[in-house]
Amino acid sequence: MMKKINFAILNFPGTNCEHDCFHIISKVLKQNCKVIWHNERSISKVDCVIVPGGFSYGDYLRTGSIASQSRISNNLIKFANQGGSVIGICNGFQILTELELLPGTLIRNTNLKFICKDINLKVNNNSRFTNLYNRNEVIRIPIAHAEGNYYADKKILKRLRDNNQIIFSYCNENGDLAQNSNPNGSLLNIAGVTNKKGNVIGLMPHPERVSEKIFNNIDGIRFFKSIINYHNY
Amino acid sequence: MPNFIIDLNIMPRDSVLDPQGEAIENSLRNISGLDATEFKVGKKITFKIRAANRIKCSEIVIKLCKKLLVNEVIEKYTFKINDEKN
Repeated sequence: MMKKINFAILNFPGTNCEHDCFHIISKVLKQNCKVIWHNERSISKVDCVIVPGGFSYGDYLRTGSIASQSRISNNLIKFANQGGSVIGICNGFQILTELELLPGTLIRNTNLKFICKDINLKVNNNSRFTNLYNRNEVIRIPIAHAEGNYYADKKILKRLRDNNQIIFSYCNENGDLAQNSNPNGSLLNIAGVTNKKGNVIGLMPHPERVSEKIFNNIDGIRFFKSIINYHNY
Repeated sequence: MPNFIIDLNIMPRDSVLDPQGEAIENSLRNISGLDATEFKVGKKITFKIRAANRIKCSEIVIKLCKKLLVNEVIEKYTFKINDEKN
């Protein structure tokens, strides 16, 4: 039998997806889960931290930048450096890049619009967060962001590719990374990357929004099941 | 210790796409018919620092930029240090 994993979900002023994540982790997947307020210090007895989506601090200055200076952030860095699993979804991804736990950054979508729609993603299953997907599987997950345009310089992009750190890429239904299936202008169609060690992931799409049968799409559930699976072996 | 007024200008790096600048350029071309190009949109932040002198002040500004105010992956910055007017 699988043992229960301990999740912690960080909550900043302006975060608004913490409850969706909490619901999936605790109610659907029946794991241990707590929500941690941003000015607490400790992340203890936790296997996986989720930094959820939203508009932390009203997206002031740059998305994710103010949250990266919160009290909890130093401990998040420590937790990640010790090999703990960290997931950043949407605004959480932006926060993780501001913390420099992930390379690159997210800038305004090329069309300057907030985009909210289902998109196709090609999955690289060679990570602790995607081990239950098939190789190069195409899944359908919604995005909802105005700043999801992944940018990094050429050197970093090459490193991401060479180290196999690109985990999710925008694609068409056949899995081709076509330019017209890139919703926001992200370089190399990047929708999600890990750090070099592979224990920190950031992604713009929202798997927690398609993880229950009631939504007629459960493509997101294996994302969370993968990390539970990883911590069981 | 004297107060200094800082004028910090933050701009997107040249290599980074600036969709706002592009949108302004296209819009202006449509309405004015004039050939104004290379618009870039950045931001300006002003604040006050108490420091022993301008060199110390400058060190503090750079520290603040690195810590929070600027993301050097996509942005570059310049600043001016002015004496506070009494």
